[in-house]
Amino acid sequence: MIVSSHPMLHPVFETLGYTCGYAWYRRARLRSGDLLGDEQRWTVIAAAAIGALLGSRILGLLEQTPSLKMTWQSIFLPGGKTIVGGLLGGWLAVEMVKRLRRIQSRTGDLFVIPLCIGIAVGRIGCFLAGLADDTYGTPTKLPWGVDFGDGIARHPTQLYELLFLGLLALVLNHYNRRTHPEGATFRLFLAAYLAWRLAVDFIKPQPLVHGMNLIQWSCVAGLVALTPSLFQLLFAKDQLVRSFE
Amino acid sequence: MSMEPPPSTSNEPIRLAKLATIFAVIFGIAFGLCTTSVLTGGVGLQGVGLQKVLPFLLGAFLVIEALCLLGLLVVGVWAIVRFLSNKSQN
Repeated sequence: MIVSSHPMLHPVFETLGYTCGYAWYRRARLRSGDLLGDEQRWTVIAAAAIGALLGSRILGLLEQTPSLKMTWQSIFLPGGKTIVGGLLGGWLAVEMVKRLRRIQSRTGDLFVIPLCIGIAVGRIGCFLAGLADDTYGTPTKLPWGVDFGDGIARHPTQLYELLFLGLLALVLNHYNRRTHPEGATFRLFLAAYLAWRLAVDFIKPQPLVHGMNLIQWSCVAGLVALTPSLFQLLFAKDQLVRSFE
Repeated sequence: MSMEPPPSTSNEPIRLAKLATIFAVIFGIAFGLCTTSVLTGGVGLQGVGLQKVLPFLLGAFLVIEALCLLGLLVVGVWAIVRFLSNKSQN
């Protein structure tokens, strides 16, 4: 399959992804209510947005470190951003703000389906941006390999991710409707997405450091940081329980 | 018997947080547009004869980024001052 691509489609779908994600979040908050008041919720959203911005850019730069000379000004120059960096940066910033503001509740469950939708829409932009976007896969002889214009059929990793996110959203939406420990949906989402990226990035032609690219190493770090929380989810009995919708 | 009015809650923290979110999102979009413009080198603008405006577009995106960054800094300083003054009052 040959795809006619254009890099300009990337920011279009990125903006559409933000819009769809926010619209879904508003709908979910109206329908199922919120553990947090407006002030605390907006503080969490602002922290997530700023943390995601910084995290996505910093990891985007680090990913290119093996092939580029970095200076501190590089962070402002045009270049890549990464979703894994955005998720980890946003998560870290929210945890810091929660400590500062003494917010005890788990705050991420409401963001899970909006994140799945936003990332999936953004990935359509990555796919349509073609070779200019560094998210395509390695060459393949499989019948669904996609030629982005250079005559080489590659794994359409963006479309694989689209399918994965669709499935994940369905499963987590079903889980979210049942009675579940507070914050469990977000922790499961983050663990599933990081594990997915750890696996799928093996078929992306990125610079490797000790056998994996820096996004994969970040996924490993994120999963290690998440492990105590996942164990708590599995084994702790006295958890606050939340039922949406 | 008169009833005390409910304590009025200030909307300022919400406004600050909304402003910070808007600045962060616009910065992200402007950054993406800037990167795309550099990548395409104006390819998308050839058809409409606007390739010469590419440097101006890039400049405009960079100005938007700078304004958003400035906005984020102002909001951040404002929030910190507010947080510290609330803390000292308590």
